[in-house]
This record gives sequence, C-alpha cells and structure tokens, in this order.
Amino acid sequence: MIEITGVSKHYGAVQVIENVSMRFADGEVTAILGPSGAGKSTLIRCINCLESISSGDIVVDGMSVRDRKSAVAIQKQTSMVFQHFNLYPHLTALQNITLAPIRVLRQDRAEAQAKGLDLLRMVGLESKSGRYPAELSGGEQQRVGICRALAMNPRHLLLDEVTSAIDPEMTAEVLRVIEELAGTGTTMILVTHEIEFARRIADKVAFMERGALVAHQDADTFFNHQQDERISRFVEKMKH
Amino acid sequence: MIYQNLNFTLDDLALVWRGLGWTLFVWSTSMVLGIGLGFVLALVRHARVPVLAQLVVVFVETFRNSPLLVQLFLVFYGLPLVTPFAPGPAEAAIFTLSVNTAAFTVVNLVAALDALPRGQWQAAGAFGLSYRQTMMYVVLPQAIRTAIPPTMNLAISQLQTTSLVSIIGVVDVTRAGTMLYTRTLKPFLIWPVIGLIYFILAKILSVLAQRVEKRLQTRNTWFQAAA
Repeated sequence: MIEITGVSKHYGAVQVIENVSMRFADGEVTAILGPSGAGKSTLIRCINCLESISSGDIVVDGMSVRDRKSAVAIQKQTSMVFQHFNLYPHLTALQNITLAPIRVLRQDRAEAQAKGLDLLRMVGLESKSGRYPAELSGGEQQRVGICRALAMNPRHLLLDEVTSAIDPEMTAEVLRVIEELAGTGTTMILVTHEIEFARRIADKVAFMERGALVAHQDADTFFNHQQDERISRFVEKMKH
Repeated sequence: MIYQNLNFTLDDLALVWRGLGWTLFVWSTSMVLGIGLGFVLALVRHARVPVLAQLVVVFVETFRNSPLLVQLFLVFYGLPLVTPFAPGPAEAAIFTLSVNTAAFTVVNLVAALDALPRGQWQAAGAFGLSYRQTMMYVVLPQAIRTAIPPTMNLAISQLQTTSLVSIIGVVDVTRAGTMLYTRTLKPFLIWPVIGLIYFILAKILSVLAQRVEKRLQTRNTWFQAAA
C-alpha cells in the first residue's frame, strides 16, 4: 500500500505539489490525469524517492520516503518507467534489463538473463535483446523500459507518461503491454494523457491541477458520473 | 661555404635515438600518471567531497593557467629548497608533466560527467543503484567515451610540450638537437630533422585519435538518440 499524507513540494518559491493526500491499495490501477504542470510526474517521482518532499509524508509498504535508509528498499519495490525511456545507451536491451537485478537484487547473472529474455519475449522483442537503444524505435525502447522495470519484480509500478515521447503508431504496442500488466496484482500508478486508455484499465482516477488534488474517484464515477465541470471539460478536451 | 660536414655520424644518430627514447618515456609515463591522477581528482571534484573538491579546483586552476616551463623550474629548482626531495631532471620532468596532464584531464572528465543527461542518473537511482554502482556501470562508461577525443588531443599537445624538459637537462630529442647544433652550428640541418621527428610522432597519434573518434562517433550518435 502507498499512502500519501499532506504532501507538498516546492522548488524555491514555486509550489509544485500542494497538500496532496491519497491512498493506493495493493493491486489497484490508478491513472493520474491533469493538465501539464499539474505536478503529476513530480508526485510519482516523490513516491520513488527521486525527488524529496518539502512537507507531509509518503509511506510505501510501511516505509517512509523521509527515512533516507528506506530509499533503496522503496526503490526495489517501486519500479519506474520514464517518459523519455532513459535507457542506458551503452548497454544492450538485455543488459539494460539485467543491470539492476544483478547489482541491486544480487540475482545470479544467468537467472537475471533468463528472466530478462522472458520479459522481452512477453513484449515481442526477444529477437532484439542484443540491440542497443539507438537501434530500436521509440516504441521498442519504451517496451524495453517496461521490461527493465518489471525485472525488479516490483510490487508497485510507476509509469510516467510512457507514450508521450513516442510516435502515435508506436503507442498501441506499449499500451497493449501495460494493459496486460493491469490485473496481475501489481499496483500501477500511471500518469497519462491517454484518456481512453485510462478509462479501459484504471480502477481509480485522480485528477490534479496546479499541484493540488482535485479528485480521486472510482473510474466509473470519474468518467460516467462526473460532477466537477472542470474535470468534465478536461476529459472532453482530451478525447479529441 | 657556410654549411660543411652535412652528414650525421653514427654517434649523432645514436644520441638522437636515445633522445627519442627519453621523449617517449617522459611523455608516456607522465600521460599514464597524469590521466590516472586526473581521473581520481575528477571523481573527487564531481562528488563534491567537502574541502577536497575545492582543493581540486585550486589545483586545476593553478596548473592550467600557468606556463609549464615555470612549473618545471619550480619543481626542479624550488622543490629541493622546501622539501627533502631533490628530483633529477627526468623525475622533475615526469612529475611536472604528470600534474599538468592531471589538471587538464580533470577538466575533460568533469565536462564529460556534467554533459551526461540527468535522466541517466535518475534511471539508475530509480532502480536502487548506489552512487558507486551508478558511476561504475552507468555514468563512467559513457563519460569516459565522451572524454576520449579531448584526451587524445591532450596527449598530442603534451608530446610537443615535452620538448620543454630539455631546458632542465633531460636529454630528450630536443636536447639532442641542441647538443648537435652547439657542436656543428648547422640549424637548418638539425632543427628540421628534430621537427620532423615530432611531426611523425604527432601524426601517428593524430591518425590514431581520428580512428578512435570515428569509432566513437557512431556510439555518440546513439547516445544522443537514446538520452
């Protein structure tokens, strides 16, 4: 379980997240929506300890992000998929996937490689395990990014606008992979602008605007019985 | 007739040959030591180790912004006055060229480390890699590749710079040339030959550097594509 309590984050005088509280149950898929600059990406980076929080607390499976000693343990359980992939360019697809399992989880190399190949097979990239990131398309790189995250056997998966940096024709494959992952018991928090995709896979939807949490509701309530005019307008706008 | 006795004797050739050996020895030793020291100092600087990082900055600025000849004189003539060490010409030459090379290596490597996209650090951190692991497996392999071309240029430039060590008495190629010139007073015979030796050495290095750069170019392209 991930529990966010009264979290604020500011860079100097700029407030990026303002007093946000929400809870993500185990195995639940939550889509975080909102306009650009709403603080969505920053929030999930705070969960992964990539950013510090200014006040409040985030507790991941009983461990607080404020406790520096917990950071690695939290990062082992919460894997991140980045908007711009951030694959290691000097390593092959398979090496990208196995680096952290071997070095952080201390997995046996052969075991990590077998698992890595399984994951690449799952996303249809087994034949490209020896390719370097620059030899892969954007969609393929992002699928490797997803494999890299899954190789850590995370309890929680954080996906940060994973399709916004790839060509529209490549997004379908990436979304298919994520859709397959939903319902496997992994908690998923995805920041996305793909409204229809969020509608399809999310159990819950959160809406953020200017750093504040405006709504955190069941997907059905959010999409079909929305009371908030701003949210309805945003959803309508994003559909087109 | 101004120019007489245009032929080198075998002894003269042997003197130049030994000089070449010293030039290569001083250059290669100081490059290895300098790059090694510079590498460590660059890591200290990049990790912002308190006090030490500031000392590295002072070190770099001092050795980068003062003439190598002054540094050579300070080490060769000055060191025996303030320390128990009285280095010989070759030791003083290697020591000075090493620290000088180290200063420029720090600049090259820190620039390469700073040029690495922030996303690489985040991608390593997000999966729990420690600072040491991130440096070892993610950052340095990329930064070193970026730092190789300027380091190759530094090596070529330092090869020419070794000629200064002749002034403190190292019998390198330049010193051999000076000795032959003093004996024969034939500048237009001796110095073109000495210059040609440096030219050939530098040319070999620059061809090598071009090949390395060409090989790295492909990879650097995919660095940008994937970063």
